[in-house]
Amino acid sequence: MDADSGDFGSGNKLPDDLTLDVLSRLPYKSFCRAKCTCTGWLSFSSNPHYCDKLPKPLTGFLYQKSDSSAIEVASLCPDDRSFDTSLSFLPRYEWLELTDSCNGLVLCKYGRNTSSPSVANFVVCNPATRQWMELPETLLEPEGHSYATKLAFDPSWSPYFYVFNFEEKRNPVERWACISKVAIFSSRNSTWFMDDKWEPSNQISVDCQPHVLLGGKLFLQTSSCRVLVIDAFHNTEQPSHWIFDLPGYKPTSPMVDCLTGYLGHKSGVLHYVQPDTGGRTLLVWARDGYPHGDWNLKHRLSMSDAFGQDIFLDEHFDGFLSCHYDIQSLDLERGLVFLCHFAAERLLSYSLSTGKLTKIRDGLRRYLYYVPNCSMFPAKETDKDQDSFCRAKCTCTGWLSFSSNPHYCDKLPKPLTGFLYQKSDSSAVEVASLCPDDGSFDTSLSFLPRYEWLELTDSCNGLVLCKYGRNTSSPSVAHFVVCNPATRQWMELPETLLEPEGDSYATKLAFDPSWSPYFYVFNFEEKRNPVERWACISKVAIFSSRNSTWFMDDKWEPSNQISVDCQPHVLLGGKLFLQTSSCRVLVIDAFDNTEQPSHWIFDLPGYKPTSPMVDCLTGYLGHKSGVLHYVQPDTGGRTLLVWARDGYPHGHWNLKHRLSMSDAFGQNIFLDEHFDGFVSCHYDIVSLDLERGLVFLCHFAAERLLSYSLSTGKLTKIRDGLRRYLYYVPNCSMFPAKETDKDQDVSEP
Amino acid sequence: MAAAAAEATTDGGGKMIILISADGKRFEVTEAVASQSQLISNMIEDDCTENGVRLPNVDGDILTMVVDYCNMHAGDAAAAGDTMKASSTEEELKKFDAELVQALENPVLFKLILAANFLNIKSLLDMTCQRVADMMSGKTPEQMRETFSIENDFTPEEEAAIRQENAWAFDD
Repeated sequence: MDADSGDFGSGNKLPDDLTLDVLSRLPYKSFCRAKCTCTGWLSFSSNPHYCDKLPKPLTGFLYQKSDSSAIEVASLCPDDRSFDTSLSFLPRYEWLELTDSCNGLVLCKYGRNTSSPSVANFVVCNPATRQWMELPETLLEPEGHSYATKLAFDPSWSPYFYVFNFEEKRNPVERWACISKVAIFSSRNSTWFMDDKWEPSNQISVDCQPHVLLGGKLFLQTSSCRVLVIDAFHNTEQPSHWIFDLPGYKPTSPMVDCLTGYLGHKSGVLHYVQPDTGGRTLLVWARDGYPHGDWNLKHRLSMSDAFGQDIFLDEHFDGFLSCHYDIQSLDLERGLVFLCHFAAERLLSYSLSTGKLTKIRDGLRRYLYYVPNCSMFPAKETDKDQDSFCRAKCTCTGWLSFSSNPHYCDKLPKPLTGFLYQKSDSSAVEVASLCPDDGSFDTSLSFLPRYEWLELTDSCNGLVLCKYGRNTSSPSVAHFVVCNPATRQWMELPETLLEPEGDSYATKLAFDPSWSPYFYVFNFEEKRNPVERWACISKVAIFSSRNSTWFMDDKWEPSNQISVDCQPHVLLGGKLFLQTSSCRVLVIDAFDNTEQPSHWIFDLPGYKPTSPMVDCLTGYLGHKSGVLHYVQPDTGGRTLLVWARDGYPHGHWNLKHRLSMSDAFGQNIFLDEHFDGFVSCHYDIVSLDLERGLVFLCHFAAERLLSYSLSTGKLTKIRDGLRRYLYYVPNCSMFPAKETDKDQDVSEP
Repeated sequence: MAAAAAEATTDGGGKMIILISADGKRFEVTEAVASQSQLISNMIEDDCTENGVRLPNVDGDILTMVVDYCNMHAGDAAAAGDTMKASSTEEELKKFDAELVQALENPVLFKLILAANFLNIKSLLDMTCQRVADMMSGKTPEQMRETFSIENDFTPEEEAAIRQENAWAFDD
């Protein structure tokens, strides 16, 4: 038998099952290194026959005994010691208190409130990578309040983590609590902000209740058995919240207290597992069709069979009922429900597939479920600034080592940014750099296969979209390729059908690594009316690299008169904002994880449909610090107005800056009137990089690309001779693999 | 007591079996020694060891090691009743095992794994696979490739991607 995949080199051939035997004996860390050795070994880990036998990261429960500050782990599998679960890598904090755990990160509180005013100190750490980050301290009310602190982290949604510190006012007489405000910490910018828009007497308490972060929304079970949702906390300081019911919620039932369920998730859908029939069964509910969803019953699990008993409720002398067990945690992806049996003080796991209980550990009541996550903390956003990166390097040895680690230095702040362009007589894509080209990026896209008729189409946050081939086939199809010049990766998209004739297409690339590792391509089909000179979007094909397929959004009103051809766009917080040719903003939302995108329109500032200036003084959509911006020539081109859309979604445009073009260009007249009454401006806006304080202009007469600096008010020439440029800032992260189907039957070859 | 011991020596817990390697070398071992191989144990049960057992997958020098190992470990079962003797052999056995695998060059170690697998001697297979795993443990991918002459068949892009994905495993 030949060992065709993954053998031990020449003279060391072993059949797959023996190689697997060897690899399965490795500690998890060494196994991860072995995967980097050759493709054969790497392929073992994606083979469903093998992955059961291969080393797995340590999964288990973290706990802290009441008499000690040491944090320990109860492992679900043989401990391989590759993770430091005792958190010994942390500095020696006094009064370290295990607070929460979420998708591999661990939140601890430390110190005591002896100072005045009172403050809370938190540290978030990752035992798998031995990284930790102290949060800035947050103020506490002097007295009369309690706090519930929750950690929210979902690497499939965002590389950043969030900490929610709920301040609850307690009413000792009527025995309810209500949230008075919430301090929210984001590791994106490493600051706390306060959400104090909570109604008084809301009677919501989330203390000691489970929570789930799903698709950027935080779902919290409340002590009155409802679900509190907090949305839009990640890129705005305007989070919103609302409440919906859990299934089987009966406010008057005496069972409610002792038969409380537990919130979880599976395959991106909110789930709730709830003891029923006096504890003899567990009901598993799924909230299908969110947001206008319903709870649907998915499974009934027999606890009578699992425990071998029928009575689970005890009635105490005061009429108070208690159940023999409660739910400690859920891991529905792995088909596990974790229960605590009170009398035995025993932590148990119940398998949905076998219906059997397995003992994990005796002797404690409070455990936090822990599944390691081996990715490093992302640097916070402002680390794009070289200064703050240098400061960040001094934070801990882990971050310092980033800069000397060749695998990371590609990702660290680098100066090369520039403009991609393609001359009309050639298919070569070239770059006009803003700074001395260090040759580290292949901007000529020479790594691509040799496509005929390659056409530079769009560029977004380091990725480049090109069209290739000609529409000679029938039915017509469009071919696209998305590439990353910094990593020399490229991905051909599946072809998408085009209408035979009469329609034009505008194709936009949307990618925002701070929001999602996946990219999206929007192919807008526009019906043009040559007589009345308007166009309207008839449908949009949307490609997602998450599952590598196109889907069609055809819910567009006829005669909408929206055209986005040759107009700028911005991807912000998962919403695509497109400037339209009628100077309004089209927003497309919910395209990332549903096939039900929605869209709406709002006005740009200074939008005057009747103004003759509109055509030649068109502005440009951009963004800064997560806020939509619009830069617009005004007063006949002599000034540029910088507007910010504050307080999204119910926001309005606020004027932030006036930039004098008269001073920058040294002239006062920018408009030319042509013989037919048509007015044109000497320049237009080509691109914006407001994070770096740059506006890019094209001067028509000189065919000159210029950059204008907001901080100095000066113009700098970039390049002469062309009209169409795409702004390019390299992004060195690799394409993520597309989401593999978790269903093994499907992935079976 | 003495009589029983004499009988065991002569007959070796039954009778003698001849093992014949790929290159024709012959090894005479007792049934108790040979039965540690599940393959041969099954053959003994099926009564087809009369004319010697041919092992076409195993070279003479590898079979020498296997027979040494089995001779050494045959004492295990025989001495199970005698605690004093068992504990002393346990230490000796550990020493013997460690010396056996540690002295081996790579290709020989892999041949021994294949022989242990073919003969189905679980303890020997465990020990040899563990030895390879121990040799890999703590090594970088480059060192693993060097140690086992593995060809790096990743493209530079693929390698960068997979190393980035497992970046945490490289920090120490």
